[in-house]
Amino acid sequence: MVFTASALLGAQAALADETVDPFALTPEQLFSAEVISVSRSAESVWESPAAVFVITAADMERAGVTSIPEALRLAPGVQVARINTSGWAISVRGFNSALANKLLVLVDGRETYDPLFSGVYWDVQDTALEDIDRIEIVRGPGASLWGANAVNGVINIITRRAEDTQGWLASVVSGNAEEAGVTLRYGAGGDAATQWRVFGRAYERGAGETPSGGDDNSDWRAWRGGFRVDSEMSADDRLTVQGDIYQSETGQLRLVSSLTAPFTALERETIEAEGANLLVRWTHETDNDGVLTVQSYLDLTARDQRTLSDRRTTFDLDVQYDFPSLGSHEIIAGVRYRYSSDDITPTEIIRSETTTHRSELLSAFVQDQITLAPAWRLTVGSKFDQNDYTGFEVQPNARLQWSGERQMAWASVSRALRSPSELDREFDILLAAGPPFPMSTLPLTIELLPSPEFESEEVLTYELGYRRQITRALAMDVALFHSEYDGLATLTPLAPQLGSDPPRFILIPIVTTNDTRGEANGGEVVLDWRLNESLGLSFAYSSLDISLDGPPGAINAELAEGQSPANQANLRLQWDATDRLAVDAAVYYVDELPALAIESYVRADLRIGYRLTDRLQLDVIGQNVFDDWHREFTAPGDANAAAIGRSVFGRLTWRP
Amino acid sequence: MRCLSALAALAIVAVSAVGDACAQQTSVRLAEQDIKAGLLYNFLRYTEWPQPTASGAAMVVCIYGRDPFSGRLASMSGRTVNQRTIEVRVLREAAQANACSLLFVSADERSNWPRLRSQLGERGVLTVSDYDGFARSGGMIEFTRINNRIGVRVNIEAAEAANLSVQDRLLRLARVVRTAP
Repeated sequence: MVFTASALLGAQAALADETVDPFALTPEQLFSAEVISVSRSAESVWESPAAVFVITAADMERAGVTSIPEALRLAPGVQVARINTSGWAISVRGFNSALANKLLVLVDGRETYDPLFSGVYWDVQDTALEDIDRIEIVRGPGASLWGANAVNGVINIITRRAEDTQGWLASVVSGNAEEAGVTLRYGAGGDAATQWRVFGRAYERGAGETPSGGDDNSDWRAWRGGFRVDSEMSADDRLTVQGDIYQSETGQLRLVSSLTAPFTALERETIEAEGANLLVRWTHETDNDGVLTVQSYLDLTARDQRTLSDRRTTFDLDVQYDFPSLGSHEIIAGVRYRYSSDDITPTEIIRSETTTHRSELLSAFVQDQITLAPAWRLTVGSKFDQNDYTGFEVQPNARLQWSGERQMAWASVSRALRSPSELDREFDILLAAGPPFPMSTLPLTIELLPSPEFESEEVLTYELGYRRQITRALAMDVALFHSEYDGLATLTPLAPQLGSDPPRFILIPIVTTNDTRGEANGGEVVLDWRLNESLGLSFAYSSLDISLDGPPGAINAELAEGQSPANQANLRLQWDATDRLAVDAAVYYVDELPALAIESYVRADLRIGYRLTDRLQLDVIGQNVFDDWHREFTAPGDANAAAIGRSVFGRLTWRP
Repeated sequence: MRCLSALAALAIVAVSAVGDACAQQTSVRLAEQDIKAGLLYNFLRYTEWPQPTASGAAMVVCIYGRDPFSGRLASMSGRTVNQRTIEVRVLREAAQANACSLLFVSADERSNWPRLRSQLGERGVLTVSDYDGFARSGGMIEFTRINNRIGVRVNIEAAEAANLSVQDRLLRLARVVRTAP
């Protein structure tokens, strides 16, 4: 895809054999030299007319993160709020929630969002972090290429090709919160046309505390195994086959409602999730320099918890063709088919008329990048979707870019949609139940009813961006946006009625309507300062102002205004003190969340890495070191309110 | 699990010690930009130009478009090859390309390549790029990457048309391609 891009500001080849002068080598030596991978498309971020940020493998290692959600804290414009040990609320440019639905997350081209609620289960998005090449975060709509749900952003997690993960790697982690973690990988194939790797990973993370000192029940055990095969079948054909199998078990405290006394009870809810996926991607270069990519995957997921039991099968087929250059036009077009089917066992809390839901999505996109003049380029494109709920949808986009010497500027306008989820359209959810009113003998329930009238949420976003390599050492990236939202999901209560099932009860029905509109304004600034070979400093600041307007009486209309921080900033220092000793420090500031009564907080992380031998690395990592605990996304009154505490752990990594 | 963690850590330390003892470095490991920069230097060394141009003894290496070498070519400036001093230039205008001995066309300028190619005509400018299809579209040398090695495709016809002769030492290591009709 066009916006895959990498290593925004200055690719670094820190691992290279610094002592070798490439100009002193013979052609034979150079052709047999092994390429140390810096990011594969190190140049393309600079060229992308979009707000792109890349978290490299080195960034993740240096930040000492042990999970994908935690890595995302490094990026500007991304809201990462940890709910408890295994749960996160993550969004880009606002509208954050545990069920955030305006963000698209892909792992090597596989979509991770669940059509049930159009969001991501972060507790099962994992891989061997050492095998991740980079995480690319595109802020703003990416819908014209990636389709629905890429409303406010796209996160692309890209793992390394098998050729870059040869040999053994082992790492172990142990500490107070990261109780134990083991990752093992082996890759082989050498110089042959086909290379492969396999990995296995398991961890155990301890439960946190509630602010009152109790156990929050979110202890977490998970394992995962996977493989990847990359084959250079001919000079023009490449094949990738990869797959994953995993299991995760965690828990949370939950206020469970029922129609009989005592109506609500605080229970431990165990969440068991498992799944497997298999992806095949074939890339063929045609004789006239076009590139044909065919990708298909099968994804099986299962999730069992007190409130929900879901089995899902997703099949996806994607065909893309990058046309050979036609004069000043670079055209890409593609078609895609997705079939998804689930089987949901009804519970007291969640039920629908049918237990099986099948959905089909057919979509196509076309994009043309036109060189208007040597420095000017215009990209226009659109995605066309045909889905079962809202029919035919168009999501167009236009981007203009100007490239100067060591600087570039861009402007864009795009329309994107969040199509209804199964939860919006087909499910009946018991939100709360209570004892009878004094004048009645019937219990009271509040239920979210299926809303077949609910249509897609819509956004129109205008963006401006500017990048500049100010000096050799200092680079800057600025993006500004203005988004206009319409038809946002609104929980609208209807008149109370008498519930029909025995036992009889008074029902306050709520339906989901498209009655909220509003706007968001903001921007992000990134500064990257590489003082010298061994010292780097980076700064990111994000600003966000959401203002929404819903009908009076609606429950959640303006809630999103206070669920994402208005200001966020981070400052990171990377210092290679000696050949063997590296020190990293990072400070994160996150503004208050008024809707959840969460105060602003400062988080400080520290890593000291020591290379014991050329192949063995020891890290001591402290996260949230100056703070006993803070809350990131749960209100003090929440039954499952969890405190995010200090985490200190050691990590031993062996790369023979 | 804690126990497992400790055991695994011990195993890693033990195996690592053995591994270190019998490890040996086989080939050089370099950043892709360094390998390509080194190869550019060798292209100058193993290509024969018809006659030293009017600009005298200097071998002018030009980059057209965004510099994919992250500035590494600068250190080639001032070196000599076949008794001629190398001078590295970043081109602002395609019109200046005629004065180059070697012209590197950045992938982001690929849409300008057909125009540039006809502008250069039969002038002795060795053209190099790293985007796929460059050699087949009349470019002379194209970097490729197969697995974790850098290779080249050479379009001998295109070089000969410009009176350049690429020596066998390079050709032996290259894949020869022709201009696509």
